[in-house]
Amino acid sequence: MKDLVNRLDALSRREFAQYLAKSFLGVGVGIPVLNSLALASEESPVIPVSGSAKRVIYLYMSGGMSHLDTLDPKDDEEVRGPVESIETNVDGIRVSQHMGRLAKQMDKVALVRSLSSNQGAHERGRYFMRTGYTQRGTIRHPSTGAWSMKLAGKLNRTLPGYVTIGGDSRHPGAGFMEAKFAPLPIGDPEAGLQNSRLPKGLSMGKMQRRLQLANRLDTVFKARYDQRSVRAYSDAYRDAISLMTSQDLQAFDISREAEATRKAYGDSSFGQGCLLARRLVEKDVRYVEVSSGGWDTHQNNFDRVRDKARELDQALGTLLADLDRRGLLNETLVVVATEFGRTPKINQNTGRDHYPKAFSGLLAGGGVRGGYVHGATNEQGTEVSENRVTVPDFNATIAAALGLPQDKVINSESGRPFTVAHKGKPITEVFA
Amino acid sequence: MFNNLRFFQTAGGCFLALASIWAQAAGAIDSHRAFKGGKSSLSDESLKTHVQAIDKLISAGMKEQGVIPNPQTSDSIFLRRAYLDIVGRIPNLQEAASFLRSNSGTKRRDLIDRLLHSEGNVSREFNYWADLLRVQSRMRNAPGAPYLDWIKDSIRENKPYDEMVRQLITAEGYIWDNGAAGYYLRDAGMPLDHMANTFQVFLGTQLVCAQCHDHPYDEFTQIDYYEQAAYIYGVKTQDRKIAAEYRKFGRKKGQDEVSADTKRVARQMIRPLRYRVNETPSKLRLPDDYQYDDAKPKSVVEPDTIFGDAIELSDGESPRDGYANWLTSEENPRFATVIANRLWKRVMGVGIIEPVDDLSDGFSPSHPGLMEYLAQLMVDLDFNLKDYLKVLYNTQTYQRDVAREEWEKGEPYYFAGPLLRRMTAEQLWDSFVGLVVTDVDERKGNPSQGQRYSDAQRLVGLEPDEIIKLAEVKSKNDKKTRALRDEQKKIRERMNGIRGGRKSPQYVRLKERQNAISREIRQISNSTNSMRKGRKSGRTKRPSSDDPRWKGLPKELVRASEVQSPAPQKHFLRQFGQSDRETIENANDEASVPQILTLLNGPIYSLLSKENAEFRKNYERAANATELLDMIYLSIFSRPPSPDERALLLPRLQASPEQGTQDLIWAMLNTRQFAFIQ
Repeated sequence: MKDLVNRLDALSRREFAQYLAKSFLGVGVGIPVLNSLALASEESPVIPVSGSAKRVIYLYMSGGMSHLDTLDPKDDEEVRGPVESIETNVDGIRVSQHMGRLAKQMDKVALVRSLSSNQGAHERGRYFMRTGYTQRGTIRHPSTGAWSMKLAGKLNRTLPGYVTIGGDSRHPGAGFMEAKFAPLPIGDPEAGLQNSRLPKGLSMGKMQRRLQLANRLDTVFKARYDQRSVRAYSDAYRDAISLMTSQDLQAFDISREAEATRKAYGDSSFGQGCLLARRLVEKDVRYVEVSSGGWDTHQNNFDRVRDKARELDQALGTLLADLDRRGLLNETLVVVATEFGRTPKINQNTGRDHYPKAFSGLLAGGGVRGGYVHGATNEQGTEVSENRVTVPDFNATIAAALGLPQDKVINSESGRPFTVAHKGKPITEVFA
Repeated sequence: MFNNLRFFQTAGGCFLALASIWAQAAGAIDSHRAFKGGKSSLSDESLKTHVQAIDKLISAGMKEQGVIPNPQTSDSIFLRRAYLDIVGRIPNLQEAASFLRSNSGTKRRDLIDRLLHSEGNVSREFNYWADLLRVQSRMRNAPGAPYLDWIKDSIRENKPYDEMVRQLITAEGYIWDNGAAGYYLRDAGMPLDHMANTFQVFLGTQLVCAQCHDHPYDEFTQIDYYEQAAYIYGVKTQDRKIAAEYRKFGRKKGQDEVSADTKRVARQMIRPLRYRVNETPSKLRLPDDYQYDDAKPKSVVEPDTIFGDAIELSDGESPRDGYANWLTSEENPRFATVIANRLWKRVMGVGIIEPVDDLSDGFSPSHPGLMEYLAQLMVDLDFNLKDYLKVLYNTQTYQRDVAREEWEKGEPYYFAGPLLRRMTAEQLWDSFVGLVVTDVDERKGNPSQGQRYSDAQRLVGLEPDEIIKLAEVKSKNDKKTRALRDEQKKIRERMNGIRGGRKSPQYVRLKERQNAISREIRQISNSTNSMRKGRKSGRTKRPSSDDPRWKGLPKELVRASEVQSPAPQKHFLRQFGQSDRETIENANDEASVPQILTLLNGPIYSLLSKENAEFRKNYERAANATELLDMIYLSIFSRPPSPDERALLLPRLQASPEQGTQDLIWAMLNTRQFAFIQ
């Protein structure tokens, strides 16, 4: 039924909802699917916006990136501390002095300076950012990457479709969705894909012979228990072997890059993670998240943010140029996200504290209009002064860039209805 | 890998003779520790009565449906299944050999008894409760370790289930004084979700819809839900008085001379003391957007039960006490039924009522008489879970071959035999680890609760002046430590820049300096620790890590219950579907490519051949290829090889024992019959 609903256009959907409401008269109020449908159909029909992205590289600044010292610099000395702002290659847009490489490519980038969240604690903030839903104790919401897998599927059949690099253990992953939509976690980008290489002294031929032996030992069992779960394992073995023997597996091996390229991304784990991300999207992995910790600068904000920002700037600047040069940028959305910004007021430890009320994010590629700034904060950076963007709005923009159906309802096992980006409204202005 | 192999003789001893050798070699089969707690109230006579009654009800159901029961399992299948279900891992070589060679007529019953009271059972049960209760080693404001220990202790002493639930719900105080306080700290700041989870876990009832609107499928309304939640709304995980003190700390008169830095350190030190479960009189109010006519938004809600009897508070009873008694009462229509059904599902693979946590008023069990019988049995056994499980494991129903066909969700199931299931992530991990680690159930991890928590514990009851004094010392020590760490970092950079390698004199000098600084840092940390007097943390002593049985084996090789909860995302356990312990019973058993890569290329094979590894020790004891083959089969498949398998494999092992063994164990660990429980 839901698929049918989704195929209907906005107008006839309203009629359909009314029809359904009538036929369920008496129970109608409580049925969540109907409720959300009725709600959706009362609003003006959503203008479909869509970017040209097939893939996403999502760079996550864990800990809360100070917007004031990176993407949204202020003139007020009380606020900016020792950080200066610099011009970019787009007239009228300035960024912090730490973002020199980005400044040279501002024409590829849209800044969102009016993000606003209501989650001031790290874990909840991250959860909100990655899922579009606030954290609850009774459900696990899927991350945007899992939504993209569920709604759009894999592009490369051999490689995993969703990879996280250097992420934390509390990543919401597939949430309530099937395990196959969960990200494949890579801890150390240099180490590549865990256990994908043959152990020492074992050749592929030898492994095949061992597999034959395993099959032989298992003949009776498999014949006796011809069940889905058993067959699923046989399929997974086939997929694993085809991955191991695939040329595409090299995508996980950043040591194949020229030394100069590796250097260009910076020798931080994050920089190398970005390089790995580029290799993966090149082979059509749908969604790659690279995390960078250490942004929680309650103390010594200016030194620490300088170091972190330079690391980000080097990796991001190189990534954008690299994707562009390879002709991948138009189909790859690059996102910079974080759980919240930091206080304009500098505390007694020359630090900045959590500030969810106003912060910044960045979008580039995937059909996003470059040289554009969406929204603004006031002179002190304390308030969003125009075009407030909520976390669901921001995620809806990612979904729109990928062309995901944002009204498609997916039910959890307990029958609760959810949508990608939780009814956020995409920032239509960022699409060229 | 296996260098010390003795000369092989092909004419080897028969399987039984071999088995007795293994059993003697171990001599340890009876070393399963029996625990004093949780006395069994179940006589042999009544065990028999209950077992027969259950089997009769199941048979009647099958007869009515024309279902033919599966045959009874062989001893080896029973053995493997019993170990996996009760202890959570496959039996080791000695355990397998000892059971299979026994001629006792009561050997199955005896095994069930012994396993239920073994330390391995604590591990197995812990995993189950950790999934249900969403237990985390790291919580936002409190250490998880005392809560984890509390659950293990409750299992170990076989605390009656109703008692255990009452203790959770009425928990009070600091988590290190009362581990059960973790039940509330887990859901700090989410009292409404907490109530929904409590109902789902203990009463098999889904209230979560009613949190925001009247329940669509059930009779519950939003106000019903709020009335129910009102019983625990006063329970807070932060102690307001201490929190206020904390905020004021250092701002009082007479403390002006204390430096801002010391005050900051002092506040950091006492911060964990704010998080203490305590009951307050605060009242729950309806939400601002309450949409129904039966009450006004934001009005105060008085507690009332959502079903069953109303709660009458006696003198001195808090609403929470009354609610805990109501919930765990024998009269509560769902409490005993839910746990009886949950455990039935764990044993057989399908609940009598499905799903087990979404009972609604008209729930329809596949075997109504049986459900009633089991719920009553639970009550009659005074919620003694080990006794209840003992009954189920002794039924013929449990001891039949597993179903050949898969069960479709939503269809009734008539229990011709238990379901075929993939091992859980924990069962797989524990089985692998057991192949490497001798006496694996006894090897404990060392989950630390974190320095800041043990620091804070020692401050309880101190006067502000004393705390300030400690903070001064700590602040000074911290500064010194930071400076030393910075110096170390610089030295490390210099060391990396040295071209002459590790032998160059300059490198050696720097390395020495590095070590000296490390020693200094340790000394400072010791002096910070020793200055705090007062009570010690109440944690149980763990066996020392230099136990000769485990020498040279990575300390990470402990049972899943000893790994942090949940395991890190990249861990084997998570790869194979361990629950993230964020939502109730969130584990999965789906196949994935990374799992297979681990099974194909992972580190397990090199671990098996480590010097002190259980498998290698057994390998070296094998006198000839026949013994070797039996050893491998018993260790991995918990059975001797069939004649066909023997004919296929013996020549390979004779030709090349070392290579043959490596190929064979690799192949066996990559079969479905290893990963699935028959």
